[in-house]
Amino acid sequence: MSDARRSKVIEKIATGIAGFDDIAEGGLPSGTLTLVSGTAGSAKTIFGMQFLAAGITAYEEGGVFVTFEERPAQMCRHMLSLGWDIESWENAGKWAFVDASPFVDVEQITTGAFNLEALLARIEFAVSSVKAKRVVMDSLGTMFAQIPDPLILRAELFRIIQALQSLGVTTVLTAERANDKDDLGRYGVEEFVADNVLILRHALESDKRRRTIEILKFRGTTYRDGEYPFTVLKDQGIVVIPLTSADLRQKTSTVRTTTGSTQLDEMCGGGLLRSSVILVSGATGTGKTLTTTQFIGAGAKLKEKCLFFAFEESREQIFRNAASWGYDFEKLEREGFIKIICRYPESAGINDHLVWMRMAIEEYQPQRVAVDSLSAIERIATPKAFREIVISLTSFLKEKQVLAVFTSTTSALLGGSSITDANISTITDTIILLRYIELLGEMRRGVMILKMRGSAHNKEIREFTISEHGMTVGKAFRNVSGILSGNASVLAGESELVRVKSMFTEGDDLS
Amino acid sequence: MMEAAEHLITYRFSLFISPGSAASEQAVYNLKKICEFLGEGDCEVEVINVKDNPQRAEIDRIMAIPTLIKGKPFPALRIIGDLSNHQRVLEAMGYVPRDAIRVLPIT
Repeated sequence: MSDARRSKVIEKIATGIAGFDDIAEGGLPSGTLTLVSGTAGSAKTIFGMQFLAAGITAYEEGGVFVTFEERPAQMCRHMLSLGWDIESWENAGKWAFVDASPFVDVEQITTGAFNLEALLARIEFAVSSVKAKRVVMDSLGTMFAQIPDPLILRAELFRIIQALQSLGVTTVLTAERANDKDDLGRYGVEEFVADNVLILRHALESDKRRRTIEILKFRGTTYRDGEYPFTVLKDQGIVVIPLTSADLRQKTSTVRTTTGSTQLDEMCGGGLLRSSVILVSGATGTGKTLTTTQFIGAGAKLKEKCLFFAFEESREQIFRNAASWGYDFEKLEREGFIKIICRYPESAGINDHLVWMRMAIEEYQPQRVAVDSLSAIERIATPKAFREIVISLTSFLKEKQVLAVFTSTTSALLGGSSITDANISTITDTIILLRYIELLGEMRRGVMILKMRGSAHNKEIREFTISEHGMTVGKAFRNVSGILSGNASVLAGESELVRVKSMFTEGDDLS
Repeated sequence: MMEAAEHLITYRFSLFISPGSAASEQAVYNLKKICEFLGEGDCEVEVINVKDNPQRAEIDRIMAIPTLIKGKPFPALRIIGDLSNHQRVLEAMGYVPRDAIRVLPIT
């Protein structure tokens, strides 16, 4: 009795699609049919192809692809760019096509009763000949376009699906939607045939295209709710980005390390905490790049591996800047302590950027990472997408126990906050503000530690200067208020008054 | 000999069926009737059971049963269904009665 009951528990079959098995909590329910629904260009076919390809490469499970749309030869060619040599799998008896693509060269008419037993016989034969565990049918819409009688097709579809179930294979059936708001039950069979429904979206939001995947239902088993971003990469196919690990189980550390400036370390209560994420926020020219350069330079000096993602400047510019503050990044990169990766934010979608950043981190295994600047990536994303990406990156960095610095550019020259800050300030552990302060006809710079999780820190706004030696942090701005709001005003305190007076005691007499 | 036979037949049919299906049995019967009409000596009929020979169904990309493929004369034609409407089938094949040929004016 208990055995029989246990055997009814739905097992899952790992798809092998990167990240998808995480949100599906193991994979697709084994032995059932999953409807993959999406608009044109939402990567439905690739999902199906990858489900089979991963089955072959990772789990040695044969696969059958039933195509109602493209010819197999054409599909093989297209999928080569994703790194899947389907022809070789066909030759090795691991992959079989059932070619149900439309007949265009020969006239075809229909008269009288018919059923789809031939198609069923072909699918069954293909399944047995490659010992398939996975079957993909692509797609429902093209099936309906080909079979003249929808009533017959519905009945036959049930029969085919039942047959597949009794064969014990896990099936993916793709279905098109006219748009993302379109009804799922376009053909009147979807709800009945599918135990599980996935939705792929390729939505245009504020002029930005973004791919997401969502599990709408899994019958009798669990999954993670919500839309997850994904991207389609050359040589890899679909990569789903799990936004965070299931729970907040990041390890914390009390070990401190240097920012690259002893005075800044002092303000941070003795240095940055290992495996924390630091946001450096400031207007253009306040010294964000310097802070990043010092951070990277100090890491390299400690023989740590440092990875620098530059979205605003070229390698040459970074080398030049670093050299002007006494760091030889070119040499450090040759020695393997630094790796600089420059990319234009606009060169790819935001999901792609995140995936390749993760890949670069995975490959280089750095102890320090700097991103200069997050605001540049923000340009190419909607606020929601941007926030998700930062959450995902932060959670990944923490998982890897990397110390990271992100920079963000405030739009206002004085005071000010940025959308970037508002969106991600709760995600970061430490926030360092760099601000311009207009004081008595002079533009001066101030630095403060706004917050620092897990540590006491200096609460003053201190003046700092930038020279060829880098950053020199001086005294606090006493008797000045309103710096953060951008309306700095001098209070009648003694020390500032003395300084103000001293400005007029010599030099030009204007009176 | 083979080549001679090739010239003799006018029609070549491949009929894909599945035994036990009413529509298939209908199609076999109807095709027989149609061949009788066209002249049995002019027709070569091959009946393929898709359950026994799914590979052949794959090669010819057959989805439905019954499906009739007219391989000869050119152009090829595929007819899905039980062929019960003989008129429609003959029309689709572009059947021209022999008498009609005889009365065509020679230019």
